[in-house]
Amino acid sequence: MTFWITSSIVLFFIVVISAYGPLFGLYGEMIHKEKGDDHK
Amino acid sequence: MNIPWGNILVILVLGVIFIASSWFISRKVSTADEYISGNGKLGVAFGTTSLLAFWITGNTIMAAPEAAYGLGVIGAIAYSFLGGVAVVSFSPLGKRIHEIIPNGKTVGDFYKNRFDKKNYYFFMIMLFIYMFGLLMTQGIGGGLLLEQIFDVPYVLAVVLTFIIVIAYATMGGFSSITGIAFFQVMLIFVVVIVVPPLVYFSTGVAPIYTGMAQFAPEKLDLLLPAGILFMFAGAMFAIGEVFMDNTFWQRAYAVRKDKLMSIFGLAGIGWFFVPLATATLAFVAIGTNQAPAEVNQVAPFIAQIYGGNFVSWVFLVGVWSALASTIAAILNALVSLLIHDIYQSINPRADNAKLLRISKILTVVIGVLALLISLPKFLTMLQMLIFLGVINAAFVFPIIYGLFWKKLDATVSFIASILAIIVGYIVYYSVGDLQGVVASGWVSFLVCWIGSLVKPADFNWNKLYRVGQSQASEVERK
Repeated sequence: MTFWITSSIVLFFIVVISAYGPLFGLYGEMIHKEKGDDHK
Repeated sequence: MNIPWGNILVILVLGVIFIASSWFISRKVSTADEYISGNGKLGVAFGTTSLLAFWITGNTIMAAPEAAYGLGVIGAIAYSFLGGVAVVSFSPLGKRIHEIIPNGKTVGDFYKNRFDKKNYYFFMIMLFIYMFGLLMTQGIGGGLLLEQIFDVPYVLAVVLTFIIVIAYATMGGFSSITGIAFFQVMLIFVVVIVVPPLVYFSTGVAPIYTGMAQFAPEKLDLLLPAGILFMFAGAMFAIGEVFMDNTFWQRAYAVRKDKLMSIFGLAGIGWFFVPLATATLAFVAIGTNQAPAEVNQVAPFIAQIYGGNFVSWVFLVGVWSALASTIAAILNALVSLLIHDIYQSINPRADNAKLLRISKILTVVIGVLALLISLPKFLTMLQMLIFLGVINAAFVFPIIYGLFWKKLDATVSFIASILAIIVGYIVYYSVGDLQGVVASGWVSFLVCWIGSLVKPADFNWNKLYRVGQSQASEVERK
């Protein structure tokens, strides 16, 4: 039980960090250049 | 059998009000786009209530007290936490969706253009399974609820509910559903605001606490292991539901971009208090050592004992509104997927009038189909939700990383979701249901993360940005 509780808590925080991380520049990209095809 | 005409009359009156309101709103709906996805200008009030109306389901009002009855205080907090946090977690995704796919219509637009065909078809199959499953839980749950608590025969309850919902959802589509949602959420809040205080005025708070400490002291324990697991594993499947569900994507596209974070944030916080309030009724049952015949009836059971017929009817109005609004939103979300992702790819030249006509026909067809498969009573709502939760959890990371991270490769995403579902169901049957959800989420995360580092892609976001641009400029020209 302890294993599953711990892994569910850790997984929950991974989801929250993954969802909010880009807002704080943690990974990925948040701002999209709206014009120009050179953007990647 | 005695037919409870008073209870049926309450539903009929509500039904007539919903249908009349829908007819009024539908007069302004002239395009297929408005019918399936609104006009993209929903503000804070209608945006928030539309999200709340969909997300406050029959489960929210009935299963939260059940969780509180079984797990005590932590059960009530866990249920409120899992649904609330799921909507709040979607807010950065919604903001990103507006930025990178500004003219998208469905979650299918994202999957089709961000990944490849195999991902798209697999996701769509899983999405239809999930959405039909959800539709069934609402239909069956609604029928059981009306039968067990309000004595309305099961078949009559299901038929009545679906006919009313099909009628008002068909008339004005998305616009009607979001318009009526405002009214439905007000009715649901009446239950939340009126019923628990009325019950507690009658019983007193201190005697309930003393009773709980005497009869079931473990239910006052905030660190009960089963409760903690339910809280976080439950959050995982709720987050998966929200991220995958086209109903939320439709609303992300439909609300104003500048208000999106506030709308999803407010909806999540607002949702939190609904199950929490109804769950407190279970504490009365524990504290007074009273047990209902079926554990999922604990809230209306207590409401009827301490509030009498009036409170019982208030409860009926709130719960039925919650069911109707959820069924209507799912119907519309399914029609939107079928029209946009399937019909328009088969018949891209279909004009607006034809699309509108097909959308209405599809609403009726799916509604009748859902009605028919809801007639046999063969599962419970919570079991079905956790069972589908394994699928929901598998798509959490492909969606998050697909939206934010250009390194996520299409094949990696495909392997992650398939492997997560397989491992998830193996654990579901061999270890436990909630453990299956957790395992699915972990596999989805590890494969996506490691796969992106080992085999990084270089996705061009402009591919998503151009989705639906020609259609949008055509509409502007008109």
